[in-house]
Amino acid sequence: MRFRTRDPIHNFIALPAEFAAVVDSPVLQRLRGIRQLALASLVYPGALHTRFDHTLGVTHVARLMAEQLQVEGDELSLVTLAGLLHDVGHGPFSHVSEASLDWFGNKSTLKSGQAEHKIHELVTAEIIRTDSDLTALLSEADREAVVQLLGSGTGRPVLKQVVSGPLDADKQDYLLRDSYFCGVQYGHFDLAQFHRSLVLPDPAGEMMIDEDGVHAVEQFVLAKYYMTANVYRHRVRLITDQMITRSIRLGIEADHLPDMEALYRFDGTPGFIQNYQAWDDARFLETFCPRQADSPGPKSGAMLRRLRERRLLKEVFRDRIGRPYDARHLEIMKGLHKPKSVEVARGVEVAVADLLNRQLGLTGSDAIDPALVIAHSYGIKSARESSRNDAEGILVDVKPAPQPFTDESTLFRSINEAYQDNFVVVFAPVDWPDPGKKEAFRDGWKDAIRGIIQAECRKVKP
Amino acid sequence: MTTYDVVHLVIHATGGTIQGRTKLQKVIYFVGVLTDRLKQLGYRAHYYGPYSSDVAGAIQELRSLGFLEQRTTGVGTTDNFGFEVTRYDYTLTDEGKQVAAEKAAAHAVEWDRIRKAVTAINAAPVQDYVRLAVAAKTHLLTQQAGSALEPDALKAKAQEHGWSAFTPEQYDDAIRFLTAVGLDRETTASGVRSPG
Repeated sequence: MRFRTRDPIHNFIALPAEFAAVVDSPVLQRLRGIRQLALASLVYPGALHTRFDHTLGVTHVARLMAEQLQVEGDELSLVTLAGLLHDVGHGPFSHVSEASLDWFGNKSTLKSGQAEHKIHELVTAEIIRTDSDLTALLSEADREAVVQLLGSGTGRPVLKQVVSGPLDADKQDYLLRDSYFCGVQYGHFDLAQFHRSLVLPDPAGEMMIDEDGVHAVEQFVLAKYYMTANVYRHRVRLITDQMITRSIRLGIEADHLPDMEALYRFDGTPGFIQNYQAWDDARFLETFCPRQADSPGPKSGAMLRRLRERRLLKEVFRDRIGRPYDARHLEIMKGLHKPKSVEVARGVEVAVADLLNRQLGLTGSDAIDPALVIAHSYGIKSARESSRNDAEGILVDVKPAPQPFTDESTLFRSINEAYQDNFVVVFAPVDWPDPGKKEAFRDGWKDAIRGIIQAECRKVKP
Repeated sequence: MTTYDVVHLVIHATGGTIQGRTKLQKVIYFVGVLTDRLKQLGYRAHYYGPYSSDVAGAIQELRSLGFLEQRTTGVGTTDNFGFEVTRYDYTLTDEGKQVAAEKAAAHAVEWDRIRKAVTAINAAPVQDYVRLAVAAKTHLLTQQAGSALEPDALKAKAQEHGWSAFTPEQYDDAIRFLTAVGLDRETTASGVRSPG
C-alpha cells in the first residue's frame, strides 16, 4: 500500500508503496524527535516542527521536480531515497549538533578519504551504509548510490541538483515550512510556477530555469534572504543555538561527561553510530538537565537550565567586522566561532565577564561566570549573493547561451553589489538593571569591549 | 593553508588585479593543478567549465572583509559562448595587500609555489578568459578520462558535459597554453602524466 499523509505545506504527500517501509523505519522515525529549528520555539512558539516533517516535504518536492524534468524509473527512485535519507544524520537540535560534531570529531582516527569531509556528513553516510533497518530494506547498491548522490553526486548532474544545489528541494521545503511554523510571511514563493519553469535543455547537462521562471526564482532567492535575516539569524535564536553549543563544550571540556563525549566525539566506529542514533532532543535535555533533578554537569547544567527556564543570555555587544578594527585582525574576528580562534574567544569572554562584573557591581556568587559568556561571529549574505556561491550560480536558459540568473533578473541586476555583513557579538548572563535603558548600557560598554577584542587579537602570532 | 588563503595569495601573486570572474576561476584552477591543490580547492565540471563554489565563497569572504573590491563593467554584451554578460573585475585593496603580504611571509614555501605557478600562467601565450576556459575544460576532461584525448574524443567528451564543442583553433590554443605551463604531457598524445 502506498504511503499517503496530510501535510500543512503541500496538502497531500504520497509515495509509492516501496518507500513506505523506509518512512516507517526507526532511522526515519527518530527524526520526529528532532526539531527542525532547535530551540527557535523560544522565539517563535509555533516552531515545533521536526526533521521528519521536513524530510517528507523534501521528498515530495524532489519528486515534483523530477516529474517536471522527466526524471523517471531508477533515477526517480534514487532521488526519492535521497530525499528520505538526507537528514538521517541529524542529532539533537539539528544543526547545533553538526557544529559540535565538527568541533569535537577526531579526524586523525578516521579512515583514508574520510578526513576531507565534515563529520556530520560522514555520520549521515555511515548511518545509510550500516543501519540494520536500512540494510534490511535497501540493497547495498541503492544505499551506496544515495551516499554518493548526497555527497559529490552520481549519475546525471540533474539528480544532484534536485537534491543539493541553489534550487534544491531541501531549500524549497524548509523556506515554506519554517515560514509557516514560525508564523512569518518571509519564506513564501510561487512553488508551482517555480517548478513549471525548471528545464533541462540537455538531458546530460545542467538544470536551468526558463525565462518565465525568473520572477519565481527572484521570489525564492528573496525568501531565502529574508528568512536568513529574520529567522535563521534572529538575535535570540542565535543566542539559543550558541547556548546549546556552549553547554556541549562545557559538558565535554569542563564537566567531563562521558555521555556527552560519546555523543559528539566521532571516531568512525560502528559503536559511535549506534549510540548516536539513540539520541533526540528530549533525551538530550532530560539526560544533561533533568527537569526534576540536578544536572550531571554543573557548568553545562547551568547553561541548559537557563534554556529550560528561558533565562537567556543577553547580547551585550554587537559590532560590524571592519573598520575601526585593524585589517590584520579581521580574519581572526570573522573566525571567532571556529576552533582555530578558541583562545581569542576565551580571552574576550574572561575579560568581558570581568568588565561586566565591575560595571554592574557583581561579586561572589552573583558574579558572572566567564564560561557562560560567549564571543561569537556570523555573517549575512546580501540577497544578490544568496542566489549563488552556496553551490553554484543559477542559470537561465536563454539564446544564444545560458546566462547567470543575476544577470538575467532586472531586479537582481539592480541590487547593490554589497555582498555580506559580518558581525562579532558577545552574549552574557546579565539581567538588565533597567530594561528600558539596555541600549544605553550597550553603548556604554562598546568601546571597552572593542578594546578587549583588539587586545586579544594582538596576542595572536602571525 | 585554507582555500580562502590560497585564493587571497593567488590574487596577490597576479599583482592584485584579475579581470573577469571566469578568468579568476580558471587562473586559480591552474594554480591548483600546478601546486597539487586541485582537490582541496573543490573544482567540479560546471556549465562554464571547471568551477569551485569554495573559490567563489572565498572571493565573497575577501570582499566582505574589505580586502577585495569588485567592479562590474560591460553590461549588455554577450558572446556566442555565453560568457559574462557583465564582467566582474577584482582588485585587492590596500588592506587586502597588507594582509596578503603578511600571509605570504608566514607561508613562505607555499607562497613561492603559488607565485611560480602564477608567473607560468602569466607567461603563457593564451590569456583571454574564453581560451583559458577552453584550456581548463581540456585539462579537466583529460584528467577525467585518465589519458590523453585526440580532438574528436575531446569534442565528444565536451558535449557529454553540455559544453560547446571546441573548434580546432580553440583546441590548438588550449594545447599551446597547457604546453607553456608544463601540463602538455597530461593532455596531448605525446604522453600522459598521472593526475597529481
